[in-house]
Amino acid sequence: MESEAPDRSLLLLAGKSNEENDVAKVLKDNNTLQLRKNGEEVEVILPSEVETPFEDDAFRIGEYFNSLSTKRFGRLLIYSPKLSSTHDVISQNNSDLPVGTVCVADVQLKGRGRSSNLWQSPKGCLLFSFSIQMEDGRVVPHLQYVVCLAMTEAIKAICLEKGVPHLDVRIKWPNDLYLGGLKVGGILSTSVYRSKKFYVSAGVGLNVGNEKPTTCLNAALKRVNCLSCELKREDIIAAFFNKFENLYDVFLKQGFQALEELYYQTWLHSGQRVIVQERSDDQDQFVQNVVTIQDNMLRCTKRGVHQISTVKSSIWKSVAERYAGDFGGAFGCF
Amino acid sequence: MVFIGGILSNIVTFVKTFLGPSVAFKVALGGSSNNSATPITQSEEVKSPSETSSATSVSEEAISNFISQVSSLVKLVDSRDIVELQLKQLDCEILIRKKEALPQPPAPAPAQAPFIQSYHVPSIQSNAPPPPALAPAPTPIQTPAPSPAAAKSADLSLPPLKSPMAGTFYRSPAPSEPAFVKVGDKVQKGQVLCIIEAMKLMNEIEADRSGTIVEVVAEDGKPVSVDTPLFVIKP
Repeated sequence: MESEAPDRSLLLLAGKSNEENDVAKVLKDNNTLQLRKNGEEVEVILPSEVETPFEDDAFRIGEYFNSLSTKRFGRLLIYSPKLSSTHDVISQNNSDLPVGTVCVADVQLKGRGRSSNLWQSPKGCLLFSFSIQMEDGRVVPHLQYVVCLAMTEAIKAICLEKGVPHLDVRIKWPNDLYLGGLKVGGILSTSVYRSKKFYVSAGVGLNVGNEKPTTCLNAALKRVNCLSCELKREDIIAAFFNKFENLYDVFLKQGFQALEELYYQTWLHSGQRVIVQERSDDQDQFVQNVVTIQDNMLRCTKRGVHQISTVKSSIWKSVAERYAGDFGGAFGCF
Repeated sequence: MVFIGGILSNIVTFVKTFLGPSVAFKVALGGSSNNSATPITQSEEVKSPSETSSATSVSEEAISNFISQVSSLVKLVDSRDIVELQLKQLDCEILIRKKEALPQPPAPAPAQAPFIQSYHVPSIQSNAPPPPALAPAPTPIQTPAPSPAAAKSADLSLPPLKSPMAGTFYRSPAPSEPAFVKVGDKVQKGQVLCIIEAMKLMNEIEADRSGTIVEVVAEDGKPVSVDTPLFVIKP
């Protein structure tokens, strides 16, 4: 946990098909990938240039590509055994990367969280960030819900496919993943608005196999006496992109409304008593109400909610600014 | 009279550049303030030295004196619990009003009437550093303007950088950090100007052109909608 950031971060560029491998070669030849803002140097290599094989527990690129069945997302991979932050790799190079490029690291030293929080992530976690480009600013904030949903759907699908017990991973609004009351993952998206486009970097951290300090997906499987059934990071991320590509298409064509029902089934707030802080009419004051969350409550308030916290513990807080009217209702007035 | 008006509009620009964001203010001529509807919660009368009103022979030194007096007045108002200060002397009147004293702007501002709103200046934690020289105000307005409204229209002719999304407007990367940009800064196309946060999603907004920031229209920490003007950049 105390290890320093490496002097040079090794980035391996690999594609699912020849098409992406050609892009990878161009990116390497042009020396495109940089981490200048971090003041870090990167060493970019192609699969043919790997001299010493990676460790046994490194991310298995071949397995990942075999399970991936997307047309756009996840097909160009930037893999690093140890990296400061996958988010930085994507966000600092977003304009130069094809849409859907993903960066995966085995160990992350300064993973990005909200409000400049830094996360250290040891082995066993699935850590990745990927690039998206969007044009409509009204729907950009909802993208993180689609990312959350794609991950819960992916875990559901893998459990089904592998015949392992269902893991009831749920979404804590707006960007955390919980299993049995404990956090097992989080999503962080940031974007840069440049030349009339949003360059979004969506990052996911999911604790697949590290039990410390709290819990992980595989520990939950062990608890239900499924000792042999471990989920693998490669399967989960491939299933994630397979799900995400479909959900994202629905999201772009039909809006988030089309996914709302699925979202309500997956979040953990239904029936919760919460305190809702809502902006008052003059926008400068807040009004507090205690309400029980109903599935349709995202459509119910007038001005949009500023903050929500549970009545007992104030565990979760959220900031949603006066979306009513701007998003046609969907999550508009959370 | 017209000359004084020109000076005053220069002062507006100057003091805005100087003190930037801490206060909103308005300068009116001949006591023709049309803001009588605004309640004055606390006011303080200040006598100004006689040379500020000798309009017939305004030397550069006098302007410089006047500017420094106005700027110290603005500082005074900013440092005290004064919401509004009105100063009248002969045909010159200065009204310094903090943003708390301004009426809430109407949500859909009609095109010809966003005058008061255009004087909204966001607040930041610290004052801008003092300017290197006080003499002629560094203002883009060359010809003396008959009234502040006319001076304003120079800015209005520039298309503002508008918000591409709804969310909360933040001028700095984090609460304890300085603003990305302030009025008077030269910016390059692609430079990050602000953050708009929507449901915890942080969006950095880059300058769409190179130039000088002449106005920060949106207020720090306040909600903005799609197409809300954020900055005015003079190429």
